[in-house]
Amino acid sequence: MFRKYFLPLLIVLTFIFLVLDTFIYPGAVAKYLLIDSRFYFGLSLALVLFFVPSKKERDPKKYNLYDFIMSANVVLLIPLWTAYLIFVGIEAGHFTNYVLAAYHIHLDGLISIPLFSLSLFLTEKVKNSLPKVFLLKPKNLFYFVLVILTAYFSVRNLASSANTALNADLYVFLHPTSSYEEKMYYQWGDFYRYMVFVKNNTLENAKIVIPPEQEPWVARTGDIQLVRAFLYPRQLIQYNGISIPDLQSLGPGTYIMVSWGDRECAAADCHGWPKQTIVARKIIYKDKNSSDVIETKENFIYKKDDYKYVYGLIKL
Amino acid sequence: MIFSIIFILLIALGIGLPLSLLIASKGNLLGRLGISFPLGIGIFTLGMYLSNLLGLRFTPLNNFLLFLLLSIPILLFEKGRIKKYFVEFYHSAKNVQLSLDEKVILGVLGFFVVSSFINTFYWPVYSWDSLVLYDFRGRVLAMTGFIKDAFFSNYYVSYPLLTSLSHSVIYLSGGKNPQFLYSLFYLSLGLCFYGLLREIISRRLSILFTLILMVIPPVFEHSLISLTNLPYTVFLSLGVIYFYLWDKKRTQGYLILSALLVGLTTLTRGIEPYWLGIFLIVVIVSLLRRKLFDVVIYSLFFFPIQQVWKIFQNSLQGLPQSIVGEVASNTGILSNALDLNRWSQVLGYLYQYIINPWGAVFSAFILAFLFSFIIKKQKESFLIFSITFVLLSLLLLGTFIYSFTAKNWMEIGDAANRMSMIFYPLFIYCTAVVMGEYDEG
Repeated sequence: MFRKYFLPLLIVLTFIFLVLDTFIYPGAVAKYLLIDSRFYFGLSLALVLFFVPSKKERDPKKYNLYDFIMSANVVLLIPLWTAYLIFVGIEAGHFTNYVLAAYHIHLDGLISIPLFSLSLFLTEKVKNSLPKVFLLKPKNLFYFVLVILTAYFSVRNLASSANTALNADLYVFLHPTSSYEEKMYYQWGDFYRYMVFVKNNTLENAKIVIPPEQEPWVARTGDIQLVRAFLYPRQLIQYNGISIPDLQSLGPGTYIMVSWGDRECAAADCHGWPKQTIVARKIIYKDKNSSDVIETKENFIYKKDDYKYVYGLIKL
Repeated sequence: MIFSIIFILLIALGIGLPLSLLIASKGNLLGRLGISFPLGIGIFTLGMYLSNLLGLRFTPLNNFLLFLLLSIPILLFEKGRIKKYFVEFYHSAKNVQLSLDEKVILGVLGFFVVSSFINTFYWPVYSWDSLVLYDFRGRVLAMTGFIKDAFFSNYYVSYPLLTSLSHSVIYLSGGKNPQFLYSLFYLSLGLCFYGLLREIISRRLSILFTLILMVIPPVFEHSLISLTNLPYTVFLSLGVIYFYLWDKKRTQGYLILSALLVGLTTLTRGIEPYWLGIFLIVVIVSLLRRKLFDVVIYSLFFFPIQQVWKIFQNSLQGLPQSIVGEVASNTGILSNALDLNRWSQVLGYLYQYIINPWGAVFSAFILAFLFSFIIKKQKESFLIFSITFVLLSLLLLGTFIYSFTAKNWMEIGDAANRMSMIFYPLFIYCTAVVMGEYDEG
């Protein structure tokens, strides 16, 4: 009964659970059926290892359903991997989570399906040459559970890491000639371009006043350590409050960042810095699509409501 | 870039490999190759750090001279063993016969290692922690030539310099992207973990459990970014395993390797007090074995490394200079030891951010411990389990103390999760040891 029906049905059920996790979300099966789909994955493999004799040794009559499922799996193996790699390629060619947005497919769940297919295929192939510790019939429950847990842990991790690796590799293969600037823009967005903009328009010994360490600047332009990493050796000045206390003391030639803010914030007028009137020798604004200057104003009086651009730089 | 890769390989093969052969001449060939990079880069950056404190500027020429100074004496002294090592390596590689399952597993392992290198050679340093601290200090060190120039505030002194100095080695030798160092740490972990497993269990099981370790998402993902967690995990877990094997095989060199590797953890990350737990075990084991001289040997190699950074850091931050002073500064917190409410908060926090993400491997580890008693092999694996349990207790105690010193302790679960990465190799090694014993039994 076990050999004839239970194991083949478990394998089919595992495929179904993995498909459900892919289309609903990874963990959906665990939420509704209390057990993670990849646990069934590990359990199936462990049972195949423990209880199914090699093809030469087993009685075909007792294993006809199992053999049929395994043959179907061999047929499905290449199409499943091809489909997965196509979706990974589509993702790498667009942006993170594109496949989820466009096709409602979770790539981190999808990998488990071809991986389960491949694991079944390889388990059948290599089971005779595995360490005998895996082929012993369980002498006690402890050992059996230990192997199941190890298999489950391995399967879960293999699926996750393989998905990470394949996604990352395909991105590299599809963008082999990207420059340093393009890679950093991919990781840090327009903030990186702003840092290049400031770097290009100031000398290395420049003094630059940056926004305060509070919302909505705290994660980018108001993070002095982060800004320093891009603008070193320029000297950075940061004040605790929202306003710059004594503008006169800063001296001519000092720069002040102009930053709209990098995150949403609750208060209606929280965005935009500086929030005070500043007599500027020069003010330059950054183009939203590059690190170039889009507008320059000389001998200009900057006012707190003058926010035409996201990023700029005032020179006193 | 090619020069920086060659220079790193020279450090591994010219310092790390001969040094490991000098300290412990016997051992698995691949394991020995695996330990050569972490040991080499650790000792080389320690040399850079000390020479800089003595006034020697970081320059390409000075780095090369330092390399010659460190490598030539060991290479000359170990000439015979190195030659023998490579001859043995060549013959083993030529005669190795792998079964199909081993080939499949090696293929999967190869895929992950190659994938890691593809990505680290492609991507520049971009992760926040590295950009603002580890790599930033490395760039400043390479630009200015002096350690003190990299400390703009206490924040920059909060972590030791091993990874930053490694980055500066790349920049000084003409490289622009130091991320591949982390792929090397990943590869080293795999090779050395396999080698250390191979010393006690069969080849197939060793390869299989190495795969289980290498595909753990945090381990693989940390090989793609330049944070300190993976190097720390490599140094600490291998240091612990070497200590276990020292006790099991009575190879004195393994005790020294263990002391050096655990010492290097304190140059990688300064916050975690795991070294203290390991030292405690060293003392207990030496007392039980009635070989107190082993504590002296361990201390001789461990404390100089630990103290060179600690004294410097404390002098910059104005903190107590001694270990006793450091411990005394935390005694106030111990008066809260009976705060049951805080204990329950800490346990809930650890469950959410650490034990839950560990998942099945933690259960397997506990089950393997119980199973070792069932198969009556608990004596063989008791020490490695004991060290792991002591480190787990330190994690619990450390989090409890941290909950009183950091107001935002509940909000930084990700950091706690990263910090707990060191347990993966230990859990898997423990499980492998028990299954290996069962395999033989």
